[in-house]
Amino acid sequence: MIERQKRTGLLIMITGAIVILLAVFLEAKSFQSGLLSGLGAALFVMGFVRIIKMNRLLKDPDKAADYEANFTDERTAIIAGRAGKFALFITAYAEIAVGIVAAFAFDNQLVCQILCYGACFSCLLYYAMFIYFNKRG
Amino acid sequence: MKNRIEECRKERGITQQEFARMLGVSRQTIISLEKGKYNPSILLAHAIAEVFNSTIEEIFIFGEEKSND
Repeated sequence: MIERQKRTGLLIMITGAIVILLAVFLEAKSFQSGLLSGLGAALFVMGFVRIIKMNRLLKDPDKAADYEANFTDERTAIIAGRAGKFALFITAYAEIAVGIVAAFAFDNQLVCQILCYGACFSCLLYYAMFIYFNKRG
Repeated sequence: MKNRIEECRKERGITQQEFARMLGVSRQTIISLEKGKYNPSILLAHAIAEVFNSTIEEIFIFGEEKSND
């Protein structure tokens, strides 16, 4: 499991490097170039940090066992589900709040619509997934 | 739900880390179980009882319960 996570880290790092290279080929000061280089740098660092973390776990069998147990631990699964649910609803409320501010304070209809539609879509998707897993399980 | 996990574990001289490994759960789960903050699934409760060569009823004290939520 840890070796696989290490390989995933390496893959993320390589993807980040490719995205940075793509950004270099775009126009130097364009918005898309900045977006891609930022995304690439984030991916590169994410992969690098994952590799360091896995190397440290390989040196400590106790921590490694605890880390691996987290993938099968029923309590971790419950907590992850609860955290995901809260994160979704907090994000949805934040999107609606920012959308309302964009509409009334900045008179920006497009931003308001995108954020509010995004929030509605996330909530709809949550309930659709809930019904699906409820029926399946 | 109250339980006798900590008592049984200490009687057998098992550390939380070792116990967690035996059950395939994290140490944090053992801590929560011992504090009575987390009610395990029937599978985990069965595994715990098996480790202690006991029955589920001997380890877990059933009463008026709160759910994990």
